[in-house]
Amino acid sequence: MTAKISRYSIIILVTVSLSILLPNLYWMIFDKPIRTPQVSFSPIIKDFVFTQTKNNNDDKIYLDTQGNSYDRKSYQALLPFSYYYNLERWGVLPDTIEGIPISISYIRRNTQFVRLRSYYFHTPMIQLYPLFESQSDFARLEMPNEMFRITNRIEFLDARTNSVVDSLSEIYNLALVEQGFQFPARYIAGNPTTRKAFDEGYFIIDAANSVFHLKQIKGKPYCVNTGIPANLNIRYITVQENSRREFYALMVTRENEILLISYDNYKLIRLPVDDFIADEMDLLFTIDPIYRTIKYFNDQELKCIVIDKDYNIIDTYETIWLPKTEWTSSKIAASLFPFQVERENARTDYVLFNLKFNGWLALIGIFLALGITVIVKTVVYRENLKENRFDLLIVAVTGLYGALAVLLIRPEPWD
Amino acid sequence: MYKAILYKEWLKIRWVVLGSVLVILGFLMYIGLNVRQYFEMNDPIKVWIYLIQKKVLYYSLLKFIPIFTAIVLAIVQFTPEMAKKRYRLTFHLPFSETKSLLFMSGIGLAFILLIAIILLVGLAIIGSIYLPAEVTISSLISVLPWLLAGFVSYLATSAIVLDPSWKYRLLFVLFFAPFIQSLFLENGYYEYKYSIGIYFLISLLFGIIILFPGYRLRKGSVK
Repeated sequence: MTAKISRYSIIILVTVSLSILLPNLYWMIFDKPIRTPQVSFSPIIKDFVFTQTKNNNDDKIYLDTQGNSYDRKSYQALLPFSYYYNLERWGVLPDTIEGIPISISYIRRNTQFVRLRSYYFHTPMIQLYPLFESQSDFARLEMPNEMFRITNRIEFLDARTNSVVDSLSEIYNLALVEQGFQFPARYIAGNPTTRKAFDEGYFIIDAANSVFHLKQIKGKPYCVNTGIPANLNIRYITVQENSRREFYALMVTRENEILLISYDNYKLIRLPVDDFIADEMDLLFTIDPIYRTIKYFNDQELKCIVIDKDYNIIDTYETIWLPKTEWTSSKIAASLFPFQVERENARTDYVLFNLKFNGWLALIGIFLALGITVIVKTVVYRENLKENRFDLLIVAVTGLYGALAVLLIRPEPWD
Repeated sequence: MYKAILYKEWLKIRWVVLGSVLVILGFLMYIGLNVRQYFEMNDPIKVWIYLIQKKVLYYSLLKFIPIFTAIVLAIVQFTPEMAKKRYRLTFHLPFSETKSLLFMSGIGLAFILLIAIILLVGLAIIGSIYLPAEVTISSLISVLPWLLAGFVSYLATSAIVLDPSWKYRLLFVLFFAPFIQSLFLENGYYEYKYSIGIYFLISLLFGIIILFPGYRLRKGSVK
């Protein structure tokens, strides 16, 4: 009896391993890259231009929404804010666009990118940060000797001695308490690097969901309750520290809203995005001297929204393509394998153990596997099917994997 | 009877036990010196930020120590039993084969537990000297999949060695490998946070897989 149970535990383990191994091997052979089209808004023709790849090779064609096609050079000439170095080299960089005088340095000073990727929301991060002096007498930012944590109080740890610096902790603790900070911190956002233009410190969400701004000015704490509503359900903040100084940070809420925290007394600006899903989509927010473009996409659709300086929508563009689940090779995989174990995923940094079921198509593979099992067992192995009934049950649930397992790890004549 | 088996197992594995304890202590000492050198040669805060933001696992040298020790142990413990099918003598004892196999596995597992504890204590000591508690704790949690891989591969190797046929041995190696490999997929700390529980539950199945090869050995199966 124990030996019989032991065999089944081996068979289950083999099935688990096969549901990792076989789909992996299958996709190693049949997978193809998904080429997301490049979509941009041209300030020259005031229309979207985009690329298409023909027949899965690298030949690109360049089109606008009116159906005009362009060669590579004239396409880049339509996008002076992206390809200004090339245009300058060819001597075709316009002097003015919409009446604004254009130069490379002007473009560079008035350009900003913010990127969101879905895995940013699914990555472990130890919440310990250095607090920089943000108004130093010296031009470059300097790394301090301490990092802070915010548990039931704020604590500064000296990295040289690996111990808490009480004097510093006291001062900052007082500054936070005075602003009504509720310990512990739920979330701390900031950029712990000296390789940035300047320092804006940290945006910290407290236990009561209020958002605080903390930085160090001339060796003293600067701490403000930003007054950002506590009911926003913020899940992510990225502090920008961009010389344009329009907004401190970009936030994403659980409801997939995107909000900017502006330099104008922390006033919030909502980006006009509909049906953006942070867990499944990547987003690129581009600011050029005239327009702002918000582009978000997953593996089957892309949306591009162009807005003006006051965040009013000017134009939108949407495109869809055949999702991977509709590929012929996906359909074949779905009928071969009833499920697979997904261990890694581009949308998370965590290692998973997700059983992904392949739907009704899997029944084809299951019936096939059952048929093969019965034939091999009766004709080749000459086993009595009634003796090891669980074998067939396992095949009925796990298809090909189970069939391989029960046919290779054969039952013994039991005691 | 238990005492006699314990003595027999000890005779087989004592040198491996001693050797692996020395190896793990050596590796821990190396990592300790390595971390110390990092802090001597660089600005300590930069090392902290590097470990936290870049998620470098300063203890990744230990990654394959548990699985390596476990495989050596299982081979040393079960190969002598397979020479001239000596293990079959056990079947004449007034002691069930299930009990004796599980007891032998238990001895091996206890030893791997010892290695795991040494490893965790070593990391805790290194961390407490140089690193904030957050990083030290992350190191103790992040090595858990590697330790689990140690226990699992010990059980898998024992079953593989004990099986009387080469065909089954090969199949077991091939079919257990993808699962065990799943425990080495991390790129940084805490990445098994949501799945380690499931991996652990599945790993429990490995606890009894040795009984099937044992049964095949007693029956003299060669299929």
